[in-house]
Amino acid sequence: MRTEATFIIIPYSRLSATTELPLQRSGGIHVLIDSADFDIACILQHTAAHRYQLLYSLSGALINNSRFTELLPRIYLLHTLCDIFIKDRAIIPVFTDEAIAGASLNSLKDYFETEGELQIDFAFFEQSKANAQVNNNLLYLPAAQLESFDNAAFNKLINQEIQLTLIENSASVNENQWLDVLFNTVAMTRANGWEKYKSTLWQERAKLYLSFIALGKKVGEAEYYDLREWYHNEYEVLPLWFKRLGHIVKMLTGKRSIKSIFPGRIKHPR
Amino acid sequence: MVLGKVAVLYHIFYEDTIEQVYEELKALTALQVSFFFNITNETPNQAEIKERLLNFFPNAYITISSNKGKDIGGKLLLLKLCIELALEPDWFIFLHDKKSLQALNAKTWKNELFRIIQEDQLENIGHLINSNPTCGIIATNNYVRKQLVEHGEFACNNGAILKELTREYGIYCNQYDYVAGTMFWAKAPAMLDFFKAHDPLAIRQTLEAGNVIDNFKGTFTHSWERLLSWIITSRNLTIKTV
Repeated sequence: MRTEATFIIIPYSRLSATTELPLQRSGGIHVLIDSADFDIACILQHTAAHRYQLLYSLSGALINNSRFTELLPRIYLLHTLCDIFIKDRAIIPVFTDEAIAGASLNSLKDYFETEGELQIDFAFFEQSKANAQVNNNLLYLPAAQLESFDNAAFNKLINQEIQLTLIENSASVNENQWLDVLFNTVAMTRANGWEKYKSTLWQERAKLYLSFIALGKKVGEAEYYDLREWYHNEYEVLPLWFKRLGHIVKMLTGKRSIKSIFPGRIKHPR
Repeated sequence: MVLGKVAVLYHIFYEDTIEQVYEELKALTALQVSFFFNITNETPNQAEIKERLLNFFPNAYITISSNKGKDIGGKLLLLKLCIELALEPDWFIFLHDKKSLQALNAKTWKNELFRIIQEDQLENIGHLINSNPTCGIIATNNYVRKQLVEHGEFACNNGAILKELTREYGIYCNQYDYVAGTMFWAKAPAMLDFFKAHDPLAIRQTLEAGNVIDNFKGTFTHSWERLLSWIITSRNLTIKTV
């Protein structure tokens, strides 16, 4: 049974070298960007054929790379192509066994903020550790944990609010009932979290339409008064004799009837 | 009718746009076309819209981004994606799900702007392209506006910003005509030339967030609405209308 919140991590260095991905039991493609030369076209060609969801994470080595700031536009572009939202935040997983340069992470956050993405956060995982790790509502299960996952491991995790599971491979996943229940629970939690967030978006949309009504009135009023002022400056200020001459010209050219020249003869609509 | 390779860059903000998108674009599916869509992350049913777009256009590229710079910001993001994917179309078609709810003539505004992708106009557009080698923009009649310049200053709310940007990017035209509503065919090589030299995402960062209007004061967003046309016409390419 396929779940929508469990993803198999595929390093970009491996993705770019293969045409067949081990995606059984995966909600989609989760690309661990471990190369500064990552190519978005290469990533997309794997998702296109199967309409997979696409998520990404960053490696510590990439973040510490001296070219990291040059990569920010491409990382942002990849971000917009992905389905990475968890509730009201976009959480970017980071896999590393080395210390991360704080300045680089800040530069990424700053870049995303100037592109208007205000709720960016990170979830840090150490790939060298063999234990399950939960960070910022994301669960990382290394291969060793998948093989030995049992009710004790299940009980440790089931009460934590996990919205996404990242695993290293799908070996032995299908036969393990504890993993099955865990993955389905995570999928439901993710779906519920997203529905709650959607309801806040609908509320904001309703407020937007109300503001449009107010804005429409303001714009209409401004246009009305501008037009009235223009009319006053172009016509009302003219001497009476000139205006009367104008009416006669209009009458002679067929723009007005003789009757309309005389006051009180025209019935105005109510 | 040979129109060459076309890339449609369509920005979506409203939640009910998807109902019309396929009908609007289906005439273009007969062409050699790539579809790019940007949906804002403020659109409540963004996930559903993305899913339905992929049903209609299986090979489409779809981004979900912040609401920055309105449709201009969305189109800049999609231009960046085209560059990143090394696509070299012959023409871009810029579109968005315009509603302009603050305007009195909103409904006719959009319908008229979309004339450029109506089936009965494509042959006419093909003829314009093939018989006018210097044609750089194709837009709807009556939506090409002349930006007045008086004593070296752009005479509009966006004047000061336009002066700054035209200087910064070296965009100078004999006449400053532009397509109001930012929906038009644009000669892709000219557009790509500019945006390979000037990062679209860096420009997008300067745009205003949210639903900005320029009725009362100038904005970078509305200034770039004009500049998108001037990028083409500053290269001695002309605007034709249908």
